[in-house]
Amino acid sequence: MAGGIEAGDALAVGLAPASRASLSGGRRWLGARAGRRDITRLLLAPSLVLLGVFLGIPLIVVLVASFQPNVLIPRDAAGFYNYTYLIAQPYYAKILVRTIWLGVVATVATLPLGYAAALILPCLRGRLANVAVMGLTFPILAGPLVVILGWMALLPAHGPLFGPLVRWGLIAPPRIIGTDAAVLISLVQFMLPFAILTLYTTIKQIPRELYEAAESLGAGPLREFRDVTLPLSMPGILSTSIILFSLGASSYISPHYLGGAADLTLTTLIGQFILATYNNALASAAAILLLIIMVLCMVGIVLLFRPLIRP
Amino acid sequence: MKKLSRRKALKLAGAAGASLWARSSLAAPAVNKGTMFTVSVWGGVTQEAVQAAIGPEFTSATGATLAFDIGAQGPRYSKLMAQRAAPTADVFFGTDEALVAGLKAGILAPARRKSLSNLGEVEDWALTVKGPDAETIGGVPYCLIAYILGYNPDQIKTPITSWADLWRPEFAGKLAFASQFHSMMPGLVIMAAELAGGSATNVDPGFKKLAELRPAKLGFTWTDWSSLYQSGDVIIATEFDCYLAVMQEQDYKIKTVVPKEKGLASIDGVGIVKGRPNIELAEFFLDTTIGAKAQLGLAEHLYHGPINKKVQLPSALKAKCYCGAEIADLRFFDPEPFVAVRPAWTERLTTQVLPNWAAR
Repeated sequence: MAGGIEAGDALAVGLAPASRASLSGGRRWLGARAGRRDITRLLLAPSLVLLGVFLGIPLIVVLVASFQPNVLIPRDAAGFYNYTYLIAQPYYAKILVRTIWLGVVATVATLPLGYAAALILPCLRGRLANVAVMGLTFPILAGPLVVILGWMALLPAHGPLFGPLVRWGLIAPPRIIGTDAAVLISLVQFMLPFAILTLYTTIKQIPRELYEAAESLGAGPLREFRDVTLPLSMPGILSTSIILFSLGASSYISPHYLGGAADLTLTTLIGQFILATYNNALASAAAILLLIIMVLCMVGIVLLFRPLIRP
Repeated sequence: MKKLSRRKALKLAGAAGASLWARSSLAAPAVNKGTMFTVSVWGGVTQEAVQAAIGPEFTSATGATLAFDIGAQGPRYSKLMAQRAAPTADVFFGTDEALVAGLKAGILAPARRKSLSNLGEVEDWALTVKGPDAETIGGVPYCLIAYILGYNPDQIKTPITSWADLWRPEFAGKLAFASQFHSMMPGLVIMAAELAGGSATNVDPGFKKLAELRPAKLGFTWTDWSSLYQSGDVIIATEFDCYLAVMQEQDYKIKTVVPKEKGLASIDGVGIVKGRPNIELAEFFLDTTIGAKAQLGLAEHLYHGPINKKVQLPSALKAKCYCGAEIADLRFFDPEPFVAVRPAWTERLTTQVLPNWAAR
């Protein structure tokens, strides 16, 4: 910014008086813009400080801890052995893959459901629209733990959902709790409101005039969707995918309460290292691995969707 | 009457003074009214029992009131590790193994034996947490419980008599078993090893034998599997006797059995958190806990076997607690070696045994 004003001063040398007058106006404009930038930076400062202190510093601490020896891997100095141990052990490697798989499957399952609901929501009017939005976002208000407790009561083989069918001999006792199916069902249910809200905002911002123009050119509802709604909602789909994958891959409560005891994700593995085996070094290495996976997958999602987003 | 010489009178006065001083040193340390003394303990019935059985005596003697930091042992221990520089709890309730580990990790501090006036009344078998020297003790025991078997007699007609029955094919997918992080797991590994021809020093057969189990649910306490028991998804479980007694009291149809190879004894205790200002107050809490009055109260609330020799339980209560001659049915382990092997054994269970279990 300061550099910009100095460049303006240098340019002013050798200009005609009229030009100098207009340049003086421009300089005032530049000054005002610089002031606005200063204010913007000031407003950003508290958030940046908060992030730096309460996220940046702990991350550095975790990073340092992840290189330390521990009771399972005794070494004399810091090194990458916690990472190599986690990646080389088939059990832990499977957990890494499972974390990505759960995030991807949950995202792919939730996205179309959320998109369909977000398409319908703008068509609703008045009280019905309010009730629909409230109803769809209720799981966020209730919190994931309440929702999971509900699933835990509902899903046992002899519970209220399957119990009567089992008692009447219509089905064999199904095992849902303790499987990936239970985790995925609860993840989709938990993530759906986030998808709907994000996509609803995007779809609602598409100008009505574009639909009117498409209609006047003879486009039917399907063509309108293909040529107007879908391309213009691509940025929303991209951001929703990132949000959904982050929620799915970093979810702790669903895999912890509904997943199998041996079917861990990186989050539940980190929880076990911290709360059950008190192995801070391995917990830190697993946490950094989770972070790396999240960043790589987000880059992958951006690369996947970017060609589909029109400038 | 013989006349008292000045020297003898001084000697007697000195002895009386020393005796008085010794008594006063065992008296409750007085603290400011409103002082909070934080107890890290399991929640629910255990917290309520500590409040009811220890709280009134402790508060009336010291003026301090009890506050609680509740949760499962693992998270509470982990919290002590994280708060090592500035702990918030004064005393920690845990298994004897956790107390030994806490002393080694430097998050717990030993208590002075001379501050524990009731220590002489404690059963010898219960004193498993040693101090760093003869003057101290690493922590005091507060109860004896037994890890045994419970099963549904309506669904299981062939009586259960042995740990080996857990491997019966009809119990595959119907068994609630200890989590790999459970306090009793080292004992279970040794038990499985012995069933498979191994021993406490040759546990490889035990890991292989455990991998052949087919538990439906892993857990730490009865509430982890009670809903599955009610629904019929679980029909047999490994559990502490006191929790099985609670289940029977709550009309669960569950029969208890001590395996013929003996049940596994668990001695739980209390340790002093290192780095807290009121060490004397903490020692007084420990002393109150092992006292006969508190021990009786804890047994009444929790069906825990008392560790104080002087406690006489009423016959109805005695039937629900492990005490007296019954302890011959239990197998006691030294917690020290378990602390040493626990990380490697847990890792082996997690990476080699658990994937075979397919449990919830």
